[in-house]
Amino acid sequence: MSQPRDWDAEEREALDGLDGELAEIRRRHQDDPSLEMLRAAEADALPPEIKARVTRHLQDSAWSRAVVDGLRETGADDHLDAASEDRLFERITRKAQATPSRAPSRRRWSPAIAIGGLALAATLLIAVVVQRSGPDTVVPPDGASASIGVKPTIVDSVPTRPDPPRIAFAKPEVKLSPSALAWRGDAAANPFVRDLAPAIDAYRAGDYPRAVAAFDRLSAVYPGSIEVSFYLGVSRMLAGDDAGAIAPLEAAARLDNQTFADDVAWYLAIAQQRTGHPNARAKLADLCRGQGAHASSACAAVAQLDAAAPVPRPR
Amino acid sequence: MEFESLYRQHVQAVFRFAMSITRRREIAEDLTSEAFMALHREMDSIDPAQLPAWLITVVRNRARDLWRHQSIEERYAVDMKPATPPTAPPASGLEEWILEDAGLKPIHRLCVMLRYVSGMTRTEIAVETGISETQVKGHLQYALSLLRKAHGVRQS
Repeated sequence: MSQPRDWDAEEREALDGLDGELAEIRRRHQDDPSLEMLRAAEADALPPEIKARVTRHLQDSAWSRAVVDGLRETGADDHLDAASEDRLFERITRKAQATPSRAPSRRRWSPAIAIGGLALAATLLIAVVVQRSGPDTVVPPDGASASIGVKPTIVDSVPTRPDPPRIAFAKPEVKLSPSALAWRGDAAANPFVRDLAPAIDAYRAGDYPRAVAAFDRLSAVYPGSIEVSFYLGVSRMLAGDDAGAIAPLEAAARLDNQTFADDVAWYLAIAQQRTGHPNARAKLADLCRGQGAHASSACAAVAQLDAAAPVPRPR
Repeated sequence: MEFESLYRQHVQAVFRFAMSITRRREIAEDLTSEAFMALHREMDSIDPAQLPAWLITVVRNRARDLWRHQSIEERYAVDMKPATPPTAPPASGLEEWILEDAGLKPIHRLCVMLRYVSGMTRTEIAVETGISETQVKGHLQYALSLLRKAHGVRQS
């Protein structure tokens, strides 16, 4: 920690006479959440009980909110260089090879069947064993499952849910609504396009946490922008926060923009399906019956859902 | 798709997210490594379309685990005080200036807060923010130039 004595001449001159005020500011904020905690809260990487406290603190503290705003502008250059990327890959594969698989495969059991010659009884027994110890049905993670029953090892932190399946989706390309495109003629003077650029860049680069933070900020400034609402929702989904994606996608749906209408309906239905919304299947079925860009994907999704949980036929 | 191909495709995004949580490269590498270890184990079950969200949530869950095991959690949970205690004096002019000066960008504010309130060295700020020491110095010089003007106005 630096003391005033490590300030250079310029700092001493600029802060001359402000010692008392600085001491008072330090005293006022000595119990604020640490930088580490604010950073983790921003990345939604705190246990829910702590995050709730930090969120309450942030509502009351302009100082800590300013810290978080500053943190959002950091870290753009974080990356693994080529050598580190290779070293990490070797480390992962070495560990992976040294760690036996959690789940014995069926193939491993078949010699036992042949050698043992235990016919029907043994086959049944093995079937039961394989079924009980087989790999979990791994689903893409989501905030809800992530916050429940987190266990000490990473293996057990992988969210699992055997049923229903979660619908996969492709990352949508960036596009702009006609109103934004009309502005592009004078992009340099257009504050919307200028403000949107960093968020879109993060989205395109696959840096979804940063994209979420950037779109989140823009949503307060441009609540009527379809681009901001839609890509905020999709960025949250790509970052694993399906539940958090629903509100901005619903906001995008209310904007009723024809350029985005199909996409909004599709991604909203997926987010709802992944978070257990009771009408998600019906919405996907509607999309399947329609003529939209995602109709075939929606039909496949409905088929996937029905295969996993057959709809009872009316008697 | 091959594991290595998925690793090469997503490792930077996963590492960047881990860095945004911890700012410590060795911990960020550990978190990244654990996420890809989990992917390696579950390769047969994972649809590549679920990436990198799946990996990012593994990192997020692991970070939550780490927080759960830190003693700071309990101390913070018990001792956390209201952001503005009822008995606290109102914010000083300097605090208002830091929070409200229109010329300061969020990154300038953060550098000022870390340097002059949290008492960090420029090197420590560079580590915490992921920007270079030269940039930190530049941000501080810019902020101080604004402060000099504002302070001069206040004194006069």
